[in-house]
Amino acid sequence: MWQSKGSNMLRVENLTKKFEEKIAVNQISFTVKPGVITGLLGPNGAGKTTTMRLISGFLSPTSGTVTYGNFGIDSDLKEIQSRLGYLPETAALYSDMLVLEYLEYIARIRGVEEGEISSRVNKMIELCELSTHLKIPISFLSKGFKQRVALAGTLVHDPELIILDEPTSGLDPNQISHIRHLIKSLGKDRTLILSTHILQEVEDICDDVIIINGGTIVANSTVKGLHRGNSMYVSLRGDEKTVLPKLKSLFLLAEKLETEEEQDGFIPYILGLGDKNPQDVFSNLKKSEFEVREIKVYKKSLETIFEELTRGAK
Amino acid sequence: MKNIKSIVKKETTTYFNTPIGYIFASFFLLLISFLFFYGLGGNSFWDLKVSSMEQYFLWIPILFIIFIPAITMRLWAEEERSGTLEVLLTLPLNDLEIIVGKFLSAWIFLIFVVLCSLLVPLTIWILGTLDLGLVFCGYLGVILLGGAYISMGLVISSLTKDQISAFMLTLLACLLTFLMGYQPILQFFGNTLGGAIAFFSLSQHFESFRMGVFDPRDLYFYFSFISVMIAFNSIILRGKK
Repeated sequence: MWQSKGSNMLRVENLTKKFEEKIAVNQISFTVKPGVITGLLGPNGAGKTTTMRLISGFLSPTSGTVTYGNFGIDSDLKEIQSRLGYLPETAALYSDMLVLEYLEYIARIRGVEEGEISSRVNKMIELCELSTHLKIPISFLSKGFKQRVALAGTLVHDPELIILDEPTSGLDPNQISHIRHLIKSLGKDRTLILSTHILQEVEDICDDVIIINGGTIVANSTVKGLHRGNSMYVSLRGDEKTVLPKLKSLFLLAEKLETEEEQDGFIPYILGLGDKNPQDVFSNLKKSEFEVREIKVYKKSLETIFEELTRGAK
Repeated sequence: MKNIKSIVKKETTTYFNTPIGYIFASFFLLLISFLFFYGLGGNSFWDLKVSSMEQYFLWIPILFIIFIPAITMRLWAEEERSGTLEVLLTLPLNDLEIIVGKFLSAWIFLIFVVLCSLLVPLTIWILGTLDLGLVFCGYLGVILLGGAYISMGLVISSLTKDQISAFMLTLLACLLTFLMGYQPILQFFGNTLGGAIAFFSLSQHFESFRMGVFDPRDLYFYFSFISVMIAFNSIILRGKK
């Protein structure tokens, strides 16, 4: 169903967008490689949708550049847009059109050859399970169906650069699973960015994650790398009042792990290492003559990481 | 060209798929026929008993003030309200292709409605002798005047986010450009200023067509006006980004 696509990389450099006095996106830079699904995360108003709108060409940047392969968004916007499948957050559709009419119109306008329109549209109908609603005006459809029609319109020309703003919004659990599976298969050989509020979705389908807060990137890593973090869990015997200040003098960050209870006089702590290696933890703890029961790399949930990185966001 | 054709087809179909198009077309055709045949103040076809359409073409610019805003109000405002503008502007289309497509669709609908009124000259032609040159010239003027009003309505629609505002503002703009060619008002401005104001009035350039005179300068004026409005619309669209 999907043809193997090119190997163009999306590169965003120092992208800034100001709306009068408000800076929506501030000097952000990242790259999205083909074959890698990149998730864009952030609280409401963080700048995710603005970033997607800038990449899609709906908005022009105040400064900075977006390039896709050899094409720059300033000089070759139409070249990029002809390769782009963009699903906006609102999944807006022409409500007076029939589902079939809409898909044919979008296919034609996206440059699908006249002889191929019918087969491409049929594939989308099959893929997004729309066959029972083809002759129904879009205004009569439920939110989930509208989302599927919008997704079908986004993919009808078999794009190589795909930007999806909350693609599973309004879908039922079966549909969510189906669409996630579809996104995963599309992402294998395409350049794909998706924005979502569902952290589980990022864990399930994304390879890379970019977290935006207040218009700037606060994390840009692989999903695995983000989990790995740079923290250690240690369980030490002793009075917290004497142990904790010592730990704080040795490490960048030291705090008691509130979610775990003290056991047999051993209190759990989290140590932020900064530029130290995990082996430094051993030697430092040994030198300080702490009684250690357990020591391991501390893996935070994506929710915790997200909360920490976007804390204080309005 | 292929893209413009697709947009024209989609937009024109919308006029025929939604009741608003039929409502305003029926309203326009009924009103123009009523005003021409029965009129106001003894100037009707049956009062004058002359097989001429001069009075008919006198009413058209006035009715366009209400009819044209109804045609153009949704062109951009609805895209903005429903969010489809984001889809439209990220398709591989030039701004000019979209604007021209939208303009042509509204113009085609207007021409269709105006041609539906051909029953009027046909009736007169059956009843008496009709100057077909005057009828042809009048209809050409109506189509050009309508095109100019539509291009203005298109610009106003792109400046608003809801159809009601677009309708009201276009109505005011059409009324203004009509009054700019209305002699009792122009008298207040004296010959020089009045002449300059009248030059930019859309209804003033329709006068020669109404009288059955084909003046290429008026044709040039209408096409220039439409081109300027389309260019202006393109600037507004770029500003939205």
